[in-house]
Amino acid sequence: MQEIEIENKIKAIIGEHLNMQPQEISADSGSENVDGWDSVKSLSIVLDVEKAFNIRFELDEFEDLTSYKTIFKTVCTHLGR
Amino acid sequence: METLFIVGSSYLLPSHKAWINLKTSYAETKFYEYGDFISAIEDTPPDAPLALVIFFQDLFPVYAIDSRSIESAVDSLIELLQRRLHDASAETLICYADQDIQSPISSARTTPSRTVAYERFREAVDQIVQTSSTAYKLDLGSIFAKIGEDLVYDTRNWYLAHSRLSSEGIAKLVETIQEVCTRIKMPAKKILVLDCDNTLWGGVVGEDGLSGIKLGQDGIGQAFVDFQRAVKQFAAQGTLLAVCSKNNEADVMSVFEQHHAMVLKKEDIVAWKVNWDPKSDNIQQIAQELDLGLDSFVFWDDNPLERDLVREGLPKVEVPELPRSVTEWPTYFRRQTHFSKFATTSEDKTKLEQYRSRAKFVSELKSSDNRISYLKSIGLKPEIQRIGSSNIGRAAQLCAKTNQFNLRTVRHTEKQLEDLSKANPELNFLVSLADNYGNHGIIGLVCSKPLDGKYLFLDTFLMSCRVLGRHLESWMLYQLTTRAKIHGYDYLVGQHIPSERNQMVAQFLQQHAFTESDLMTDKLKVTEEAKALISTAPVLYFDLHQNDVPNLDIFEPDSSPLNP
Repeated sequence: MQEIEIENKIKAIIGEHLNMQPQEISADSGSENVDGWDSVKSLSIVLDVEKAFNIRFELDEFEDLTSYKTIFKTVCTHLGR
Repeated sequence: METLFIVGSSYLLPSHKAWINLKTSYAETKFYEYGDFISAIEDTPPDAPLALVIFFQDLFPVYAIDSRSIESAVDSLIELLQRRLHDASAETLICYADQDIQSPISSARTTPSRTVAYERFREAVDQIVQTSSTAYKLDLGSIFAKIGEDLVYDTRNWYLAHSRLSSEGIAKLVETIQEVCTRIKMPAKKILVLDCDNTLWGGVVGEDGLSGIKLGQDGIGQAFVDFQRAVKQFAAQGTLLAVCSKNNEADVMSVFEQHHAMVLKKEDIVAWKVNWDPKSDNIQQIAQELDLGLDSFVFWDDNPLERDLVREGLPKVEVPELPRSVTEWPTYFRRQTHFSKFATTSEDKTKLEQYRSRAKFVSELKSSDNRISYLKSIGLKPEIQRIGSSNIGRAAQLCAKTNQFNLRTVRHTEKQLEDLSKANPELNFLVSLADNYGNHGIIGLVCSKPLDGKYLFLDTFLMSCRVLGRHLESWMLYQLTTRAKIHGYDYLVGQHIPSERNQMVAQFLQQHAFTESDLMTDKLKVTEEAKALISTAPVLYFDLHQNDVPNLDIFEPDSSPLNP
């Protein structure tokens, strides 16, 4: 899978949960600067990401998965990139 | 549409997108804090639906596995539930599961106390559901078992967010709630239309001949028999069956009459369409002949092209996509929810006969010259029945299932009907009918409630379509006006709320001397209840002192003691 595909998939999921256009999401977007991105949303975003890539995050990874950048990185790690 | 309130014994991931699927039944969902059953029971209005999702292991601390503390946890939850059910008019869904993590060894010689406690919990739930008309139990354990507990539960999510379930588990939970709620809101399908070749038997009877078709032999022949058995089982519970096949009629009949392995017999089928016409035309004709809406049809055909043609031509007909291999059909058919009902009434079981006699009545009425004298000759014998415990199930069923001859299409629950009847026992009644064509059973319902001392509001006026054409609706209205006068009312207030299916009664009130009156409407607006009613659709008035509903002399006198 190309990195751009991974990026698009993740942004689409985040966008769907937070009612945003994918292009509005930047590398720095996260719970600190996006309205409505709270811990509840975080959880459902991450569970959807798991499903979309058919991967499974460990419990201790979740803590950091509160921004686009960290989600992207962690997904890449799981996909062996 | 209303709000569904939800409470879980642990976190149910309210923001998970699977919950959106409930939107077809409920406008929105509102979650209580998990574990807060007390608020859920106390704060959910009795007329709002509530779903409780109980994981048995959440009811007591892990360390408290002695049977005493488990029992007391169960008892207090049951007590809470009873409080809700006591005056709830909307549905309460009790969903439960237990993730039993015990080794097979510990239960090989004895039953562990925890298992005993869970069984007792389930029995207690069974019992409160049986004694309530608005409670439903959803045994998630057996549903989860179908797709596998390992997939449904997720211990990581437990430590992450106190959620017992995985994404898949949430999706399955929502799907289960959705299935049950759909049936609460929407009546079950009534008729299954079956193809013949490669559907009821393997092969093509026109080419392979009676002895060449695959039916009853070991292997695939047995699968067709099992599929027919599954169909027959549903037919016994009231699902009507029709045959629609592109074939020579004589060939199909020879199989039904002569093939030793046929489970379905000629007399199980209520309508036959064996010809070369498009199936959508045939289905439409069956709908007209039996007075059934197209949305009560399910079409079952092995041929994907025929399925697509029916989907395209008759979008209201349900056309399930079928597994390619017939070996999967018997199970697949049994799992279909289109026909499943919460309970089977004795009316359901005699339905086939009723639809047959309906078809006979229609054809004889058509061929007679004088309608009234013909009706006089068939010995119409209507009877009023007071609403009580023996017939309230049927009353609720009529509310749920009557779509065409139904003035306001109010889907009353048993509880609501009980309340109406208690308030005014003589002005809320059921009507049964017998005539030369048979005993039609309970086929009409009239509910009314006073808006004030003078005005009586016609809340529900419905009649089953299988007795249409007998002027029974006029008799029912006559009965109500007679009773209303005795109780001192001046006016009947009626309204027609148009639905997709009830155009048939659009003019019913006007035809029976109900008239519009702005003056009266203004007078009525003094009560809040009346205002709310009037706002839904225009209202019409029937002056009980000035007008009469003609009492047609085609009916034999009602000898029931309730007749005034």
